[in-house]
Amino acid sequence: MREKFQKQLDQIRQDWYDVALEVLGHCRTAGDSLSEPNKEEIEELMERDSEVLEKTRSIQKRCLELLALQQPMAVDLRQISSYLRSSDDIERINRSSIHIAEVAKARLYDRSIPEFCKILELCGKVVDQLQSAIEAFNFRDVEKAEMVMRRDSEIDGMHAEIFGSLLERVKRDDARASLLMFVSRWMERIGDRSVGLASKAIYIVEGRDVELEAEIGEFKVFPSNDSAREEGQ
Amino acid sequence: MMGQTKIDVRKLNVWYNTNHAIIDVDMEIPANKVTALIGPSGCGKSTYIRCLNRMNDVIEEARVEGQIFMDGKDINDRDTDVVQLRRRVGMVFQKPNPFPKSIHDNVAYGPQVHGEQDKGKLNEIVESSLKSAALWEEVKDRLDDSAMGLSGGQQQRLCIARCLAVNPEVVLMDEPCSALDPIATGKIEDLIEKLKREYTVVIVTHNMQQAARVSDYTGYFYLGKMLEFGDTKQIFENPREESTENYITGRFG
Repeated sequence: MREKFQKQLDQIRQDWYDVALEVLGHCRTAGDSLSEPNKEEIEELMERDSEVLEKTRSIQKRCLELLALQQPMAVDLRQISSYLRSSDDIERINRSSIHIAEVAKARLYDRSIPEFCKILELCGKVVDQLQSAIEAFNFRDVEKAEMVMRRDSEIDGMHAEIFGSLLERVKRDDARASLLMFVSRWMERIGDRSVGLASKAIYIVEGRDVELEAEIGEFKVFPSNDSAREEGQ
Repeated sequence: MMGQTKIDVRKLNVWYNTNHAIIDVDMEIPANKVTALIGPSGCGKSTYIRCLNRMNDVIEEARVEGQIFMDGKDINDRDTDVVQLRRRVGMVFQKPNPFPKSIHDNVAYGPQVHGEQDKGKLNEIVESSLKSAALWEEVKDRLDDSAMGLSGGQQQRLCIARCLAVNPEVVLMDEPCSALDPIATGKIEDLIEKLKREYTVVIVTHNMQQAARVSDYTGYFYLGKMLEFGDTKQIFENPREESTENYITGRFG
């Protein structure tokens, strides 16, 4: 029974890693498409939406089966509960990537404004962050996971700056800035989901639940810490 | 962290001839909680709980060293009345072992031995003990029937009622459900949950899920030593010791 259980667990791990790498590719494609939209790539990404959904649901279904039939404990319990939850992270990251690709396809934004360059920079950082988080999770790398958690504030800071600056444009009736606000927000959310993956890596290895600490303060619509400006309105 | 301590075990060692069965076990058993002892066969957990009411006294080749304080007094002191000790620390075994007597007499036997002769009082004790053991409703109309006619699960609850009839403070259970089906097991587990309101419960079990379900604290025994003791949630979600982890995840044992 133990052998069968281990095989099932190994298969979940392999399938999770496959779909995570696929979604990492989608995230990269979405970011790249903002400056150079490749119609075929964008369409392929959208077509694979249901496939990613099916794969993550299959992982969740098998995790629930193992919970019900094997009553795993200790590290097994931590692994399975983490796969159960992190496959949801992967699915949401894919969804955000698709949204960004949709915006890229429609091209309803201005590539000449300085915020656009910053968004491209943000995309690069988020893709790196996601890649590190996936590796940390798959290879149970606590050091890498902690690095991902530390780097999140940098991404949050960039998003806050971009968002605030785009908000000023929107106030001046520059409607084309608004979609880029969404892009910045979605990227920042992918960053948060990456932190979620990293914190689960730490939970699996050490049993420490660091996710809550990481997510406190994440619920602001206006991410800028410059509250004086909001009060001034 | 645990509230009041009922039994404080210090540096307990047990030998069977030259076999060192329990090695330097320290443990504070909290009052009004359920403490589960787990570990592979032969790890010493049954030997350990048999020390708590001096059941090892009857095994000639057994030698016990160390201190076991119950409410501050060492139960291994010479002046300890062992019969009184076993009244205060009752025990339920793996196989239900009712006396070949009526249901009523099984429960009344203990109080009688301890001097209770009043029939009305005995009847009261029988009723309240059977109620505490969640058996009353099933047997109240046939108290004079033989206990041997009861089902396995009912017999085990009868043994629990028999143990409660002498008004113990601690209830030791050595694999109380391993001979029972899941429904009878569920009833005993519900009962354990209720018992801890009035009693301190220590249970030995091979069933990891049962230990996780019923206990507040868990001790992990291996080769005669207690390698880990802690909050049950912590032991089953994130044990500190690798050996505990390997055992509860079924990697050995």
